[in-house]
Amino acid sequence: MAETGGGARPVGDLEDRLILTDAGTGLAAALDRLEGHCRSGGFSTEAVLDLRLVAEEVLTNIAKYAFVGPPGPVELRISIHGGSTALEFRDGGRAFDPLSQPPPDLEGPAQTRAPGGMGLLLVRTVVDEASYRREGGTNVLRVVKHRCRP
Amino acid sequence: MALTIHAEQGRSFSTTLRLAGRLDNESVDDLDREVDRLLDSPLKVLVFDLGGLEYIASSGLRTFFRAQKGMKQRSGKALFLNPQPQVRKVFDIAKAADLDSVFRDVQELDAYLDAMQKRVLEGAE
Repeated sequence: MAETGGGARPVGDLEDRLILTDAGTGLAAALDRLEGHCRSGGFSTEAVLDLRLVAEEVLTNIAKYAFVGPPGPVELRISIHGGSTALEFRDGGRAFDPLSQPPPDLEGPAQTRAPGGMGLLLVRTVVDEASYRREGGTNVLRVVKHRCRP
Repeated sequence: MALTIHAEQGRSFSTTLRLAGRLDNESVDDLDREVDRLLDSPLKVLVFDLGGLEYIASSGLRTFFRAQKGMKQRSGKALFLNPQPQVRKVFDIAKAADLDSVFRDVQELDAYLDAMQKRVLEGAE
């Protein structure tokens, strides 16, 4: 995992950019780094774990579905400003808009339901903003969570 | 924080898996193995004690869905004890367990198991 940091900023604010050689092998290190930034920023435990969850679900999804054949690199941009956190995921896999997928069916008893689609549902529920765009050959998913500090 | 799993035999027909730490993409295989082992045994009630679990991702939910399905197939039940706020939130979003399968504390669970045991005994008479 390569990384580049930002310059001088207000306390707790931060820009970071991680490049994972692929979303699977670099996952734990990327999540730990994100969590470290959130904890250093004085975030509530709920916000720390929500952001980790979002990153885990998106990166896991990219690792599983984005690439046909060998997995490619994924970039995660982290931007913390005044208690809001933006995460931007960029991958060169096939075009895929996770936000246009139909939500999973939550009707009926849990013991009989199919468990698919829960990861994206969690992402969409715990963030305040989410947007997707295709930039050339790159998928760009951006999510924002506000009020991360207690 | 890694996941720790402690299995504890309860009443004759039930086993409790006490989970602590984080149930995520990295640790879920450990729980899967434990659940597979238990689903191979003649078990009627599988309790997941979530009191020490601080984090769960969708990979962990998948295991819980599978456990509930496996227990239903043998006319048994998977139950969940004491989920903490973060885990409870994820459960609520995904509707990962039916309301009557989640218990706030051991007393509530014991009362449920007592009633269940009574029904089984009455059915056997």
